[in-house]
Amino acid sequence: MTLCGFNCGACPFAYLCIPMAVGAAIVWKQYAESAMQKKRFASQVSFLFISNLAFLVGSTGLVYTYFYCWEAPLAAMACPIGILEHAAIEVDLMLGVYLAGFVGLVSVVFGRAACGWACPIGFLQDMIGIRKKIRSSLARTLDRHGRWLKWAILLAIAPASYITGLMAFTEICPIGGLTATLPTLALDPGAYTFSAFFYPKMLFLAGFFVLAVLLIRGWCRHLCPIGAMMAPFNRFSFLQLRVDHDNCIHCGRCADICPMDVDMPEHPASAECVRCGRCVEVCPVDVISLGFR
Amino acid sequence: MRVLQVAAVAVMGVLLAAGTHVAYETAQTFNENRCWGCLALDPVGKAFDGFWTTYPPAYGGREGENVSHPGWIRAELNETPVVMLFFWYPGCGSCKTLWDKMKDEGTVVGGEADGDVTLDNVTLYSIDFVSGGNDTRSQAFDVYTIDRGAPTTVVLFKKDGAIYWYAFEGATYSKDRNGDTLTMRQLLERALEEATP
Repeated sequence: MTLCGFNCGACPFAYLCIPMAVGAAIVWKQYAESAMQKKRFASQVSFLFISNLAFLVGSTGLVYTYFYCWEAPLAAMACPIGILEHAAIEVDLMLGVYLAGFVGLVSVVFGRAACGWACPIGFLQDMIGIRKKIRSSLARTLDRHGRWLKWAILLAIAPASYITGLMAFTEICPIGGLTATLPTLALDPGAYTFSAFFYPKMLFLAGFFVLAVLLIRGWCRHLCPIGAMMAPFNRFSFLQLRVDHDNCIHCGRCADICPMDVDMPEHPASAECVRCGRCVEVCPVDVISLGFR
Repeated sequence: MRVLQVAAVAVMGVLLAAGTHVAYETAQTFNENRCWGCLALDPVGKAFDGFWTTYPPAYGGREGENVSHPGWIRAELNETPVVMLFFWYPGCGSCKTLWDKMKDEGTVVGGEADGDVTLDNVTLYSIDFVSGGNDTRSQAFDVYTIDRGAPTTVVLFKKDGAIYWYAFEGATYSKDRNGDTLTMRQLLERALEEATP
């Protein structure tokens, strides 16, 4: 019996495994630095597969607590933004209740760790982001204030969907463009119906790539409404970063390596922290720890 | 802090439980209206516009060529009006999905390995073309597949001495696409009407 046999013409994973293998080879060195990063790599790869198990299990009714499109060819779960839009358009309170319960429960336990350990889009950004630190003061100001954008987007989605009757964010969602539109076009061009939003969506997708390349996790920092949903839970989630301030030597390595530019070691419970653990492993005096409290 | 955490878990748990049935119903609707996996496994037959006698355009370089139907299929068509072939292999999720869909619709019974078709005068050959390598019937897969896609489902019958056939490649069960399982059922019924001993 064979599960693969390189029978790519018959394999639902064919459009995923080749780019993944290339990506994994590129980033492996970065992840191989420590045991925690190896675990994170394994987790991110696993969640990419888990996200695409519909060919085995169909739609599960569960919710992605990270960014992945439910219109992706093999999506097994639902996008929280899509649920929010449906709840607003159809004025379906129970759908909103389910979304709040699902995302809330995961976030209470893990905070925003799903961004760092599960999200395929975070994984992609870890692969392609080249600039960790922003040096110029203007860019730092833009970065600091730009982080409010994701909250504004999140708050605007429901009213915009209700007023327009459209899935206001999904229609132009660059992640949907990447994980659903492009695979659909590649696999079955005849089945795709072009809408007026196709070109704006592709434009935003191009913008996503520019941002993600120029600024590591630029999407997570500034634009991701799902990250914005989970971010407030960082302050009181069970999973926490802790800093032993008494023994900290303030070398600044944790702040330097942080992909989200969190003000470490002063604000380990920052709403921006994705619990990636990079700061834990670079600390020369081991005063930073990641664990359930 | 601990009290706040526990209270938050309790509240979220109640919300989750309250909304679960909505999610379940939504998922059911979604599953009924989507062809999971058939984007990756596009059906060969874009439209059911009659059976083929030679290779159709979808077979690329073989278009228009005569089909070398294996001897055992020719022999079987002398005994039974309609032959259905189902090429699958263990571990093929789309094969299982398609089979289960046909089973739900009452076209087949049992499992892929030992199942049968429910229509009278139709003979089913369910062939594991990967791990059943010693089964010479698995060589028929090369005759009917386009690009070695699984599952491949073939319906054949004989009329006035000529063999007519039609093939699907992939899990072709979506309601909104040509080549779904209901079309396959119609195909079998039409083959039964057309077949002449």
